[in-house]
Amino acid sequence: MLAREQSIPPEIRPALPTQPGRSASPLLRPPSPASQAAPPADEHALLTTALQRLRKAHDPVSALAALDDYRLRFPSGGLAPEAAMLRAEALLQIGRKGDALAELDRLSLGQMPNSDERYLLRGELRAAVGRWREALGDFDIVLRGHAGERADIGAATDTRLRDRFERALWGRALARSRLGDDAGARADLQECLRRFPRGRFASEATRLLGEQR
Amino acid sequence: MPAPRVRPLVLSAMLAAIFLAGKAEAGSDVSPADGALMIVSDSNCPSAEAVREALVGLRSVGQWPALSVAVRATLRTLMVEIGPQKTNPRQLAVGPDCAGRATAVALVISTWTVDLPVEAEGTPILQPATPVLQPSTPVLQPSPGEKPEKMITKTNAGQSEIGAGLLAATAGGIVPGGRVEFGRMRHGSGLGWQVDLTVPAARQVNIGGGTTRWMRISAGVALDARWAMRRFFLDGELGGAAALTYAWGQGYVANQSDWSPTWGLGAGIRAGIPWGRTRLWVDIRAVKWLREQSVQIDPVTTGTAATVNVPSWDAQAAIGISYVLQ
Repeated sequence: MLAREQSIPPEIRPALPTQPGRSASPLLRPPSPASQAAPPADEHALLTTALQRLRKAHDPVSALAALDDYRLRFPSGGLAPEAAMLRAEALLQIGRKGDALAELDRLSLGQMPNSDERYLLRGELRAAVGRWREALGDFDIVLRGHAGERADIGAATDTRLRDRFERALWGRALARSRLGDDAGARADLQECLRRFPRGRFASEATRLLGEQR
Repeated sequence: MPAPRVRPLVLSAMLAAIFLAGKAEAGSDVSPADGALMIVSDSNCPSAEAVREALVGLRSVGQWPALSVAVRATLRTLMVEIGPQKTNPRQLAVGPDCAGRATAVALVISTWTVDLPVEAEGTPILQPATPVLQPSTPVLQPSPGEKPEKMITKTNAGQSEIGAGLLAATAGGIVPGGRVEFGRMRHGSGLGWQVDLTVPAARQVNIGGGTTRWMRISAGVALDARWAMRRFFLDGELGGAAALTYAWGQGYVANQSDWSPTWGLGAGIRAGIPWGRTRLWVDIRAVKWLREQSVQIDPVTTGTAATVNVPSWDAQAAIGISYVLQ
């Protein structure tokens, strides 16, 4: 059963218009394995170097240099999405959030593993630059992805899952409020308080909701 | 280089796979032991152990996430499933080299299992809540003999707004100015009122061999009609104003000053965007002053006085910000 081939699921993207004026740059999708040749050893070596510099040496600038080299030599490499994600991580570490967001914008996140975490990250970065509608789409995806688990997610033992859900609720409240959806923002804050009464956003949500009563 | 070997499942992987499949069918997640990274491979090329060894070179063991990872191998591809949900497996084209395969899986795991700590910046901004009257609310009648209390009815009393703006006044030359205002409006659309104080910069007129500067400081009261939509609002206002015009000479033999009151009627329109409790707005306004005013320069000895009329109207374009107090 485990050895069966599996088709790549269709990309999940928010059904929201992109920001006017934003260039429609092609998304970086994982290349189809069937059309790919086996990667050369150099490709692995370059990414290994980048990862070691980033995670072990904690040297994002040097990691970026290796990733630049990767992009130059393997523009359509089999691990190009990984290279782009590592580039975003390195850029975040040196505070270049706008550039990190540009990398994430180019990635087809719906086809990547652990995509919720990346949607959340991208939503927060989009919110930080005022791209509220697109941020809302990302937060929506994270929250809908947990639809089946929503009932008990506040009490879930998986702290990563809880943290992700809480951040997405707060982010969506923020985006909705900036888009004029006051009722939606209010509902998200109430949900945030109900599920995470001692969470990181609890006091702020209490203040906001109490202030408006 | 060895030929690619996709063997039947080795016993340990098979047991783990059966465990995984059984759990998945039961609708629950496979949870690794606390703090442990659980890797299951259906092949020995790469084996779970080889992937672990490759991971050691990329990331300190202490930083490994507590996740389950399933690796499925075919002759030319690998499928890496990460996390309890196992959505969006990563498919990779690979060669026959088992070490290379293990490295590829390790790279994928390392890349996609790090939480990057960005958090949304800012705080939601909520609009003031509008009280809703509940028609089904029971009303208690005073019991016989009990003196009825004075009934206090609270309607949609609205909200107070305080604001300030910068303006350009156009009559008699374009000059900058400022305005402060206070108003009371209903929530949403409706009628309200506003008072304001407007102070434009001094304008000047050359007359009688010198320069006369004048400024008109006005206070107004207006009736406002607001049409509020979801993302912006429009105001129309109509009202009266009173002003003091102050003039003073410069460059004359004898420089004097004087002031004179006037009054008039004004109208304006305003467009704005609500942003939480804040309102950003632009407006244009015109005022017709009903009492004519003029500047007069008297001759020092004999002759005719020179006079020039001060514009009897003002047009202003303003941009400003208001804050909702309640």
